[in-house]
This record gives sequence, structure tokens and C-alpha cells, in this order.
Amino acid sequence: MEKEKRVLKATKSEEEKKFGRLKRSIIMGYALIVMIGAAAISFVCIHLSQKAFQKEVGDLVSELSIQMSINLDSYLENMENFNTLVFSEKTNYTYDATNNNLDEYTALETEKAIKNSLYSLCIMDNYVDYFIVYSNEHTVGKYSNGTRDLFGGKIYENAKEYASNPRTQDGWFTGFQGDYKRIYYVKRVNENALLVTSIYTSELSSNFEHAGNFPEMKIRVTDSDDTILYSATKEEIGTKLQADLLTIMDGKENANFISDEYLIAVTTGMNDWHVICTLPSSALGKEMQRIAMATITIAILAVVVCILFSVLFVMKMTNPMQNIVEDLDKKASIDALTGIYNKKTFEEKVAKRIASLQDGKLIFILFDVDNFKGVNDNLGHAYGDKVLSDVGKIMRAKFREKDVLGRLGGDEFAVLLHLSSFSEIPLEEFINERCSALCSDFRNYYTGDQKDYKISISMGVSIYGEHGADFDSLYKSADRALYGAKQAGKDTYRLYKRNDGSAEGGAKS
Amino acid sequence: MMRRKRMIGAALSLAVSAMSLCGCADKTIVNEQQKQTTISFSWWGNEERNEYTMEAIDAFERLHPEIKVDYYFTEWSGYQTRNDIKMASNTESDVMQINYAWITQYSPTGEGYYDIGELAEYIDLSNFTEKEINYGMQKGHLNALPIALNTETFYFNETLFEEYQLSFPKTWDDLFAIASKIPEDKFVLGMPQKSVWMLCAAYAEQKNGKQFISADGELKFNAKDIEDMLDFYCRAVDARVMPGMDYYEKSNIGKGIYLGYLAWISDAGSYSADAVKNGYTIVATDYLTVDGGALTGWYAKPATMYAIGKNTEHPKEAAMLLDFLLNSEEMAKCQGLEKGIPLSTSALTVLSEEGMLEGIQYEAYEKMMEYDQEIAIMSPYHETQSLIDAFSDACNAVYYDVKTLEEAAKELETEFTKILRETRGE
Repeated sequence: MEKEKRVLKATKSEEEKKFGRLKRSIIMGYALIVMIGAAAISFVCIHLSQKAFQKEVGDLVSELSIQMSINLDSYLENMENFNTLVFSEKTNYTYDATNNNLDEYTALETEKAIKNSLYSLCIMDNYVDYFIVYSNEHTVGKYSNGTRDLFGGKIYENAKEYASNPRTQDGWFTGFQGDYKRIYYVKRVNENALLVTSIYTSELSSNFEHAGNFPEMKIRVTDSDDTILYSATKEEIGTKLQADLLTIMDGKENANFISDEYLIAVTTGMNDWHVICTLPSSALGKEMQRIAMATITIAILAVVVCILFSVLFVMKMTNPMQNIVEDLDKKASIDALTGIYNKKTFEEKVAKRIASLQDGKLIFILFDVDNFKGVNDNLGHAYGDKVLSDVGKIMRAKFREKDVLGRLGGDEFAVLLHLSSFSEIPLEEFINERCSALCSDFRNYYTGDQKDYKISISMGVSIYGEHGADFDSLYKSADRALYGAKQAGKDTYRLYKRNDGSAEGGAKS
Repeated sequence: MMRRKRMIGAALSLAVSAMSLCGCADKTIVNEQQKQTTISFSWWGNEERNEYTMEAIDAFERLHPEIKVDYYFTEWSGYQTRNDIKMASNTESDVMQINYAWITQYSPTGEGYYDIGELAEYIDLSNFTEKEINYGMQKGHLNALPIALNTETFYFNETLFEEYQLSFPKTWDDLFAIASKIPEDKFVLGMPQKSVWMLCAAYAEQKNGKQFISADGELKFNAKDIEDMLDFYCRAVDARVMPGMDYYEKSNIGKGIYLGYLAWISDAGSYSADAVKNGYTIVATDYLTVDGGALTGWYAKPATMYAIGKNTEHPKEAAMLLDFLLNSEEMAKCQGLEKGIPLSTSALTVLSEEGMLEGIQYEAYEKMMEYDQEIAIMSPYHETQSLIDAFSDACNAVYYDVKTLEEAAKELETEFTKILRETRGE
């Protein structure tokens, strides 16, 4: 039974290899398809989610820009409202320093009163300038040296044009002679006087504070000529907005833009000043990477799951098929009665052994059951089949796993043995030992109801290379030797002898 | 059956792993906002001071990104009114530039400002001598730390003096003599309102040999002494020694219209900047005296101080800023000599190493140190702004003949007494 399993196992391994290859091919193919599919889906997902993320951030930047523009407008409006307080004292807007009708002391006292009024108004805020200038360039109030130097003492002449709002007669300006350090607000007080106030440009920063989650974000204020009026990077103030940003913005005043390089949001408020928030797309890299990593991780896990399922599926599908094929294969190659190879398979195996022989000798033993016809005739075919089945059992028990055993037809059997060149047993001794042992095993074999019918075998032996170079020639040589054994009285064996066509062998014991 | 269960289990655990890996599990995503401690800082000063102080604040915020500094500034005029409002409404800044006089004014019991001594672990007090620390002590509490020592000093345009073949004045009479020798469109001196006040007070103190206001805020001058102050002003304006207070324009120093000026050491640099730009040489000269008289009437004081608001909610951060303003390399470089020669040894070391201990301010500082034994520490009440405003009004009233000298002096004596009583908190 063990031997049968071994023969079957030897036969199975070939088939398993084939099926293994098939399974692997199916799984590999499936895995490849899944991987390509997952990669394609991941690519699309990453692309779409990154675009969606960029759009969301773009919208947030846009919201921020709108809010900051509102902050800035509110800040400027508050200043405008605050400056109207100058009109709370009648003297402030009725006094005219160009009117020479007042005596010097009265003029001085009036101006002192105006000055005190202005000081009391502006003390709570960081004004750089807070004064009234008259058409003769005489000033009353807080008049900074920086402003004095900038306008060369001619501020009325230079600033009056900025009070251009037809209703409120006021206006904002900065950048006079390229100086953007201060932002000025001017308002006409009377036909010969202007109120001039100024703040440092850096004061605007309070309008642009944000959570700071994107430290790379830049917030700038530009005028209608795209000159930067405010930026946290002071060196930029007074310069033109960089060309690549202008190209992306393309003259639009209230919009947000998502390009490969930047997320930009621009909002236009008072004075036609633009609040521009820019965020380099690279700033989103970390978040985008996280999205990509999450997508790839899911894809990899999905691929692993799919492959695992495919392995299980293929196993589930191929195992029964493999069993059927193996069963069929077994039926096709194994003689059902004896459990050893049938003639066709035996021939193939012999041919393979011959082809793969590297050293040693191959010995071909052909034998048949003596008086087998008598068994059939006297005991019936059922006994005959039992005898044949027992021959198979004896052979499987007698020979090694590496020996090839076959039933060539009827009661004719064959064995192919290998004698290694390293073996210390001489060839003829080896043949003699094996054949004698086999004869001996059959000599003790009885069959029939009462075990009353004795069985023996006769064997013919040929050696590969000496008596034949293939199955047919080895068979023929062995068959002639078998004939010799039969002639010699059966229950013996004969080795083929080429020269005289006879054979030599062992004697009956 | 068991195998199927195992497969389902494996698939579920894979899905859970995937969800947790990509953060899809049901959990709240928290993104912390950058939280900063906001403290406020206020100062007065000119544009130069505003600009470098803002620059220094930027540097401080870079060093301490966890702290944001909101700042408030204005010129000297109006700053005290604002300070009055802030102190009275308990909304004063966490860190304040204060005047020497304010310690007694706002903190008579020593509790009007935060006791900086309690924050010594954040402020390197070893940069100051005991005497310097004592300038800020009030009733056992360290209310403020001084930035530099200051005094009113004379500066003259050497180029014009050479041109007009004049010598620098040494006595009060010299001022009038020089005025008579220069063109009619020029003045010997130009100075802002407060310096006119200091000048007139110094003259009267020397002439009458008595102190104007005592250290504890008592008026020592009588109406006659005040008459001398008013009279000196009117004579000086009439003689073109100086323009009327309301006509003073700083730019006239640079234009050479004023041959000199009286200013705090801390202001000397900014006052002379335009003149130097225009090719003039400005030098610090001697303090004026009555011919042969003693050098009285000229005072030194800590040139502004830094204090911490008594109501501050962030004393640690306020102390860190205060330390930065007084002792840091960054602030020392930004500030230079604008507030005078710093008292902080670490700031002084930085300026020395940077070769910044030079120029008109350093010259004036050396002049002050030359007379170190003769120049007394100023009474904290001497600079009370309402005294100055009252004097200014009286000067105009007398000059324009609205009031007589005697009338105005008598009224001023009463007014000064009242103001000082109020300032002392009586």
C-alpha cells in the first residue's frame, strides 16, 4: 500500500507542478490586473481628491481675503469717522490761518486751542501725523518731521488733490515720491485748510492676522497700479506685484485662482485697493502627501485582500479539478489490476530514464507467469486476475522506489533497474541476486481455494547499451532471453547474449 | 465554516487597519491654532524712536513667537494725557515707557506700578548699579528701571559761529551779546516748549540762588522769582535769542536759522541730523551760568524709564520684554544712543563693541559727566506738564501785553502751587 502511494506520489508530483504553475499563473495574472486597476484607481482618486482639497483651501483663502478686505475697509472707515470729530469744535473748521485780520496773540491762542483739540482727539491712536495745514502751508497740530521732509514743507500744495471725493472731500494716498512708509488721509476742513492724518503702513498688520496654519501664506495690499502698499515683508512695499502672480490674476479684482504654483485670492475694497492672499501650492504638499499616502495605503490593502481572496478562490476551484485530472491521469497510466504502470506509461518512463541516464547501468527485466493459462483454465479468470494482482503486489514490495515497474500485457511484466557506477556489487551478481530473489518469492506463491496451485515466473534480462539502446531493442533482447529461460524449464531467468542469440541465467533451485 | 469565519475576521481586521491608517475612523480632527500671549507696550517719541522700536519689537517677536506685542505710541505732547486716561481706567499697557517724574505722580505709595523686584528672575538686574536701581525705587518697591541718564545740554553750530567770528556762550549775558551780532533772520537758540521751561527755570534759580521745586514737590519760588522766569523769556524773544515758543520749528536747526539749541542728550542726535546733513558741525558746549556764579539750575535725570503696569495679566512676558528693551543686543543696536548713553552694562558693551559710542550724544554725555559733581538730580515734579503749559500761556500773555509781568507771575505762583498740590495727591 505504501509502495502504491509512493508510485502515485511520484506520478502526482509532475501533475502538482503543472497545477502549481497554473495556479501561480492565474494568481499572478489576477494580481497584476488588480494592481494595475488599483494603481489606476489610486491615481484618479489621488488626483481628484487633491484637486478637491486644493479647491477647498482655495475657497478658504478666498474667504480669508474677503474677510481681510472687510477688516481693512472697516479700519479705514473708522479712521475717516474718527477724523470727522475734528468738526466737533467749530473753531477747528472755521479758523483760517491765511486770514491776517486776527491779532497775533488771538491767532496764537486760537491755534493753541485747535492744537489741544487735535491732540486730545488723537492721543489714543498711533497717528504719525494729525494736523491741519492751511493754504499758506502753516500747520497746526502734530506734524511729523518725516512728513515735513517728504513734502518739503509744501504739503497743502501736494496733498490737496487727494481730497477728491466730491461729497466728503476726502481721500487716501501713499507712495508720494516713492515713499510708502506712511499712509495719508486728507480731508478738506474749509476752503483754505486740509486735515492731514497719517499712520505707519505697518499699522495695517492688525487687519491681517490669521490663525497661522499656513505660515507660507502672504498677504499683500496693492493699489490699482499693482504697487504693493502693504506686506509683512517690508522690502516688498513700494514694488510692483511679481509678474507671475499678475499673469495668473489676469486683471481680475474679485476672484480666487488655483494654479500649479499658487492659490491666490484677490478682493477689492475701498480706494480700489486689493487684498491679495497667496499660498504656494507647495505649501499644501504635506496635506496632499497625506491624501496620497492614505489612498495608496488603502489601494495596497485592497490589492492584498483581493490577492488573498483570489488565492483562496483559485485553490477552491482548482483542487477538485486537480483531483479529477490526477485521477484520470492515474487511470490512464496505472494498470488498475496490478497498481503498476501500464505498457504505454512504462515505455515512456523507460525512455525518460534512458534519456536522463548519466552513470551506471540500466537493467531491463522482462518476465511472465509460468502456466498462467492453466490458472485461467483451471481456476477461472477471477483467480487469474488475483494472480496478476498479487504479481503487482510482489513486484512493488520487491523493488525500490526508483525502479520502474510495468505490466506490458496479459501476464507479461517488466522492470527497469538502475545500478549505480559507485555500487560495489558487480553487474551480473546484482542481476543474479535480484532475479533469484524474485523467482524465490514466486516459488513460494500458491493460489486456488486450497492454495493448491503453484505459480512461478520466467525472466529474460537485457542491459541498456549492451543489448539495446531503446525500449524496443531492450524488450526484444529481454524477450529472447525470456524465451531461453522458458526453454530451460521455466522458473528461472536468462541474461541476453548477443553473439549466439542464446541467453545465460540462473538455474532452478 | 471555521475557515470562512477566519476569512471574514481577517477581512474585517484589514478594513479596520485600512480605515485607521487613512484616518477614516470616527474621530475628531483637531488642528491647534497658534496661540500667543498678547502684551501691550507704549512709548512716546519721535519718528526715529517709533521706527527702531517697532523694528526691535519685530526682533523680540521673532525670538519669542509665543508672545505678541501690541504697541501704542505718540509724541510727548499728549502722551501724558493718554497715560492719565489709561492709568485711571486701569487699562495701562503691560510695559510702559514712563517719565522719571511719574513714579512719584502715579505711584506715591510705590504700588502704582508692578514691583519689578518680584520679576527679577526674568530681568537681569545685575546690569545696573544700586544707585541706578534706586532711581526707580519708590517706598521699597522697584517701580521702574532707567534707560539712560539725561540732562538738558547746549549744542551750537560751530560752522556758523566761525563764520560770524563768535565764541560759544558761557553766561546768560553772552546769549544776548551774540544775538546782537548775528543777522536778523537768525536766532541764537531754538528749542521746544519744555526746554524753554528748563532754560528759564535754570536762569531764575541761578539768579536768585534758590531751587525752583523741591524733591518732594514743594514750590520754592515766589512770585518775584517767577517774574524773573517770565521776564527772561520775553527779553530773550525780543532780543532774538530765541523765537517764541509757538514759532519754534525743529527744521530751522538744520537750515542754520538757529545757531544752537538746548535739548536733552537723548534728543541731540535727531535734532542735529539735518544740520550735519547740510554740512554744519554741531558741538556740545558748556552749561550757562550767571557771570562767575555757581553751576546750579541744571539737572540730570534718568532719561525715561521702563515700568510694568500694576494690572498686567502677563507679568512674566512683560518682564521678558522689559529685559529685552534694556539689556538685549538687538535693542541696543536698534536704539543706539537715541535715548542717551545706556545705563545697562550689557547694552553699553554692545555699543562699545559696535563702535557706536561716538557722535554728538556721546560728546554731550561726556560733558555731563565732566560736571557730574555739580549737576544735581532733578526733582521729579520739575517736568510736570501742566506747570509747563501754565507757564507757556503766561509767557504769551505777558509778551503780547495781555497781562503785566507782576500780574502773570502772581497768578502763576498760585497756579503752580495748586498744580503741585494736586500732583502730590493732596
